[in-house]
Amino acid sequence: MLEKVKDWSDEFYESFKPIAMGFVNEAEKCLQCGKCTGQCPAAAVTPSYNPRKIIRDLVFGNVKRVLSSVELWQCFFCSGCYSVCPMDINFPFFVFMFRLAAMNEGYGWEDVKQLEGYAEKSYLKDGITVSTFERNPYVLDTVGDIGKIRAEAGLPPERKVSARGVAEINMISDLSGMTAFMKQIGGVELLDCKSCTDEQAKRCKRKPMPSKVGKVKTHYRFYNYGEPGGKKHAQAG
Amino acid sequence: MPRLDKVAQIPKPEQIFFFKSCVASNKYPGIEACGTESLRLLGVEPVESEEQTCCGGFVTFANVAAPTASMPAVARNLSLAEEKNLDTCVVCNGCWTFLNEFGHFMNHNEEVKASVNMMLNMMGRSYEGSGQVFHIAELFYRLKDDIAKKVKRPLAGVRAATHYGCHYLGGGKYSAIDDAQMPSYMEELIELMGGTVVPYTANRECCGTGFTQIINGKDLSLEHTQRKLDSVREADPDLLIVQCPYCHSQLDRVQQQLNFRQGTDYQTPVLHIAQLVGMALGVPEGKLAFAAHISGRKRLEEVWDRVGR
Ligand code: SF4
Ligand code: SF4
Repeated sequence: MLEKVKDWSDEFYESFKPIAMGFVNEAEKCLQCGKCTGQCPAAAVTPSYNPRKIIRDLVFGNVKRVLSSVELWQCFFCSGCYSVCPMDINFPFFVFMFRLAAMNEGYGWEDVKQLEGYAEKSYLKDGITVSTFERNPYVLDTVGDIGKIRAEAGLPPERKVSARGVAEINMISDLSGMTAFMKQIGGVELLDCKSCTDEQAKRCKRKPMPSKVGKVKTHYRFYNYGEPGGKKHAQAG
Repeated sequence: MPRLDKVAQIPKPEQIFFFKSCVASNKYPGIEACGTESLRLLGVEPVESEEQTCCGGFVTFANVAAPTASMPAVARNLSLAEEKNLDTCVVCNGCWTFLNEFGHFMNHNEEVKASVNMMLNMMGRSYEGSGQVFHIAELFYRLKDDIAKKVKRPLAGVRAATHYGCHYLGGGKYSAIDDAQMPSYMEELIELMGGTVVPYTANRECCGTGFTQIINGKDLSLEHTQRKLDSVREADPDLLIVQCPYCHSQLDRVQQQLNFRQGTDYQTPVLHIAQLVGMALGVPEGKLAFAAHISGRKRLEEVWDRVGR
């Protein structure tokens, strides 16, 4: 673990605050009581996921451990931790700022890449993030044409956002840097699993991992908070 | 702490800005149709706008962008209601939490508000922070006496279980109208419309969508939903009532997926509270749009037989 010591950063948390526009503060107040972790649905399915430890690592400056972890990407964003926290720490906001910081270091792009379609093809094109498109054939079989159902319900067959509305959110996207960010994600190059070392393959837990997402070189993420446990890994192992 | 004192502060407006939800519009249109229709029956005129987009929270929570991209999008949507001098009514917990949390944040952070307004001014809009955002379930609770008076199809003999959804309770620690750990207003509404409430163990647990986990970590998501569904099945309600279209989609669709993957037989119809209220208020069957629902269709027919079409 010694080599990790030099990755500790006393400045990280301070530098983190302005980027987050004041959303994340007062982590120092954390009592380490663990109420957050006790009721966390993500911890219920991945026992090594532990918001309490992540906060501790932020305050102590053990940043590398958080940023390179798989656990960081397991949060359900349910805000349950915030609702029970005696110190009012809004942990999910920490998670998305952590994830941005992790991406800055080259971690986690492959996950975000999967969501890009919703942002680019649906949100920026139509102004609506979830489209009528149905990728599950069984659902399609059962439900059929949603436009018809909408018409029967007395709604226009297709919900439309005005051209002005779409233009405005595109402008917001351009001005806020979101468009540039998404250009970076671009296309994905898939990692050739044959070139993995055994150690990497074991840690990879069978999640197909692209080595490059767009122009960004991605890094492996590890279960830094202990054995992941849970049903998924019991079966995979 | 129960926060039902907040209910009295909710106005009984003549008009309200009806905020459309992506999932409700495109996956479960009955929520949208019943939402507007039930409000009308209760004397509140819903006002819609084609300028309204997705609430704008998704891009931040999916980490496709920083909060700097969500904030102006949220402000822009809120400004549409402000232009009309109206409060906003949402049908989705996600819209509710993003509009409320980001709105609240801008209202208490002049610098952020000014920078957001700089962007909005370029498109001829501005955000003041004058309007309020209510969840449709809150409005229903506020109008419960009117609902009780106007029930056309009493839900006699209908056993309903509830699911509140994390983004109303968790994120709404200070703005929700009820105790975030143990809410009960939906139960009250169900009983008031003549239904029977069925308790079950995993009542206040997450639906398992996990926001983006259903896409990035599907196994984890399904595992969590299955726990929930197992608990629901044990209690065996006729209907599972939700107040968020995203929970709705997860709980409805995952039943089919689990049945397919594991040969189980989960068959509980899932309804949004707007649809249940619509049903009780006598909204025509077509507007409930049950054709978009996947699981428990037979059970839903039985419920129809009991309440009468
Ligand atoms: S509940 Fe709050 S104070 Fe307690 S460990 Fe979690 S973050 Fe810290
Ligand atoms: S928001 Fe994330 S860390 Fe907090 S309880 Fe939910 S899953 Fe756990």
